[in-house]
Amino acid sequence: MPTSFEQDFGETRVIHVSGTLRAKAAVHNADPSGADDLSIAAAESAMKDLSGDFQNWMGDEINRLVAAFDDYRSKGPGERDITNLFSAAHDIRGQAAAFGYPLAAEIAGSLTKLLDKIEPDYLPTPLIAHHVDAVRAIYRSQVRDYANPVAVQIIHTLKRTIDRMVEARTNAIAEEQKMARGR
Amino acid sequence: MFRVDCSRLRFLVIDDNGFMRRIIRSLLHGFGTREVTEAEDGAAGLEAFATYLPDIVITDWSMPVFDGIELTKMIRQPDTSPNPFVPIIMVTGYAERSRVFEARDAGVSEMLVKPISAKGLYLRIAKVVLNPRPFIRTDNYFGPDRRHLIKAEAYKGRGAAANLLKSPSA
Repeated sequence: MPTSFEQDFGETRVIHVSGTLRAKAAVHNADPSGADDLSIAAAESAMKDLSGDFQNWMGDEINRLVAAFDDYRSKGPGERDITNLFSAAHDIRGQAAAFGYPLAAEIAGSLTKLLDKIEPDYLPTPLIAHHVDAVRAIYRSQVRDYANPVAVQIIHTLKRTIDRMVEARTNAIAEEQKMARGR
Repeated sequence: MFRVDCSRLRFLVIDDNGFMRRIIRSLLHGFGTREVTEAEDGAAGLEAFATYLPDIVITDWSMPVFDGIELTKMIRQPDTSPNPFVPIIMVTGYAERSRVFEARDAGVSEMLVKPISAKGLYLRIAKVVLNPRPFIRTDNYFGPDRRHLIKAEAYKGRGAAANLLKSPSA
């Protein structure tokens, strides 16, 4: 563990850590900007080497999303668990752009917002199904950029629907709380 | 000016998604890193942290068992952690302001919002290595100074003055 010295400001102590990583790994750089273009280029190249696998990885992630949704849909309203569904959508949201499917990432992001902001009892299953179908269609049709007007329109519509639903639910909760306080 | 020689650093990558771990590992190897340890959830990550004593932890937020925020809070326990000062870079799909504040208040050093890029990751590593922030200890927080623009020089002399004012002989 690195050594340190502390300054006392009453309720707050400031700790200056010595023997830091700077001493271990900082080296002089010819580029005054401090950027290490060679390292970044090498890492980008390493990521490009992986890109051949991205197609299969994206397929695996979509299969996971579809399986999670099928499981969710197969259960009754009281016993539904969104954990796996949220996890699958969240991973696509984070990774699909890196895999070359930025539109799928956006749709998955819209789905995670729905699952995150609306309580399970109020979640509309058909709207979740629209998201899952849209992600699957984008992958199947290999839509990889924003030049496809239909895909862009679908994203726009889904996001607008989610935003309205979240806003309506937030207002309803606020109203319920207001009424409860008034009782 | 300086750059970071990543071949001298040990990394621990914690993410429940194997594809993301592989991407991060590839980027780190591209930077020249030789030692990368992986863990697939918060519990395994904490165990690997104690075993391998990495120089930098890169963790996901959303994970089973316990998540990246809980993991960060455990690592930042000054009395029990093997290295509570370790830089923690959180790679996450969450970009909302409230999430950023939550991560900051847990003791995360830097956040990197997905999709991950080579430049984005390198810049976060460079920041924690070349411009580390001092740590703050209060009754309810232990972690990097949450004010990102404060540099260590800003504290020079102030601690001595504060101690002098508090001393009985002053």
